[in-house]
Amino acid sequence: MFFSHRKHNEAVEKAHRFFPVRVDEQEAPGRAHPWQLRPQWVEKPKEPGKGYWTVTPHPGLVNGIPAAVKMAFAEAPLLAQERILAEAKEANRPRPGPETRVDVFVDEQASLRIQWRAIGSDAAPEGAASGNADTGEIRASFEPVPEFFKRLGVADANPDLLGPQAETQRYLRAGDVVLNQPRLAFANEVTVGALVDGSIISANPTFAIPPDRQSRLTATAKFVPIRDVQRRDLLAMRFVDEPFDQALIATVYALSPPFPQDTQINGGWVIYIKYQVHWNLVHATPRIEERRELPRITFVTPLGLGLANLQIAEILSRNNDYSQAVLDLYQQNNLRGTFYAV
Amino acid sequence: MDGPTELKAAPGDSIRRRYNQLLGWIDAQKIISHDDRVSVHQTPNGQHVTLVQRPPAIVIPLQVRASGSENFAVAEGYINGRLPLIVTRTGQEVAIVDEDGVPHPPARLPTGRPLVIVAEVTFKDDLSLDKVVIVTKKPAELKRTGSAEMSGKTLKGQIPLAFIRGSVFYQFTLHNLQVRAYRDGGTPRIIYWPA
Repeated sequence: MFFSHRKHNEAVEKAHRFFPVRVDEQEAPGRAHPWQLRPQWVEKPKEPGKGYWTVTPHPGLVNGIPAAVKMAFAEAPLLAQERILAEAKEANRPRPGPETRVDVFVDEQASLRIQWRAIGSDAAPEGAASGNADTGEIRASFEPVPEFFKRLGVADANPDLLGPQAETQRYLRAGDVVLNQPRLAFANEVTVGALVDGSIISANPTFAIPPDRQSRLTATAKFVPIRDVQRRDLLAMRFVDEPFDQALIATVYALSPPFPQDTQINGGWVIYIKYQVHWNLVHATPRIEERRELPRITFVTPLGLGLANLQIAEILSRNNDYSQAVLDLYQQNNLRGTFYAV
Repeated sequence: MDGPTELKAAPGDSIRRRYNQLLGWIDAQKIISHDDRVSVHQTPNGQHVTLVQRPPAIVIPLQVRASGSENFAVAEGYINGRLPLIVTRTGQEVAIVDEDGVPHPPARLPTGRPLVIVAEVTFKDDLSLDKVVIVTKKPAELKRTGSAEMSGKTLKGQIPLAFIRGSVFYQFTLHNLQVRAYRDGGTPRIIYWPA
């Protein structure tokens, strides 16, 4: 029988396609949880080596709706740009410019540019510094370096501001990602009345209404929780109920390589993320309490043929107004809501 | 056929027939994956099989899933211990799954986007749960969390289950749920929490 070399090579090729069989194992990426952040170094196209860190959140929902991120239109993902242009056309609005800030939702691959603060030897001091005239030291407090990063070679700052900078092997930066949920707020209108209408002072709780109820993620160098209203604020009738609630979602840390040539953050730094929230969230606000009114105190006397009544009424009126104002403010001075996981 | 040794040709055999059998045997050695946990790449130097260690699939109660492009189905899950109802394309209200946990015919998914799939909870006058029906709403139609409305003697509230903008559902609730209605100074309200 005639058996050509082509026939032989056909068998060789076939055998090569299927043999040998190489088998290996690979770990699949885990499931992402709501709000999980994917860090990415973005290099500036015209400045090689320079850029910034962004994070792209895995979609997280508040009250069933994805949170949004304010981004420049030109930086928004294509899908979001298409949606925004379609919405603008439908509403007969002008097309947004490249720098116009637009809402991009987290399910549209929105990303945030991280804002950094230094922690450790080159950090800025927090709060007030105190001096010691005897030793000549000026001491300040600094945000402590987390133990995890101390073990990786980041040194705490030297609390003596006049002393040398603490020696460190690596530098640490951190930035926070915060969820903002708009809500109704109390607006405290304090008016000082003219004596002629019988009122001295009145605090009229009204409402500040936010433009929308869309939750948004923001990046800030350091998250500072909204301060509770203090008693002295109430007595002075001067307090602020911010028209939004906030939740710290995560802190993003950037760790430099050992003994870096400069302290400027770049794509060679290693990113670590500490999450505070792993779930979708429900946000609920409290009920607006019905205003209770104090019965006004009056006192009528024949003293001085009734002429004393004028003066007594003025004193009581001042007392009544202050009492009502304080009751108003104590009864309900904010509409702060609560986040809970579901 | 166990292996190529059986394909050896004996004197007098038709070599062409044996040779074609050998080619057939080689072809049969192609590895095919029927599972995303095994990926196969044919390279010029043989086959490369990768075993991907995927975590086991998690069945989320009340998980909303696309059923084609025009329908959606909801996985078995409970609100106050009972199965919610779904409105089929024929307008029937049926439980989301049958007794064996098999999803009932899916519900229609409107074409507009984005949409929120919500469980509409209805309470009787005595504030006991009457029924739970899963429907679609536009985001602007969602009520403020916790608020409810009176409709005659019944009280209605909403629990968002999932969100869809394009073709992907994002699940909001990840657990079975408990829901309670109450009157707060006369105002009807509901509260829900994972169960």
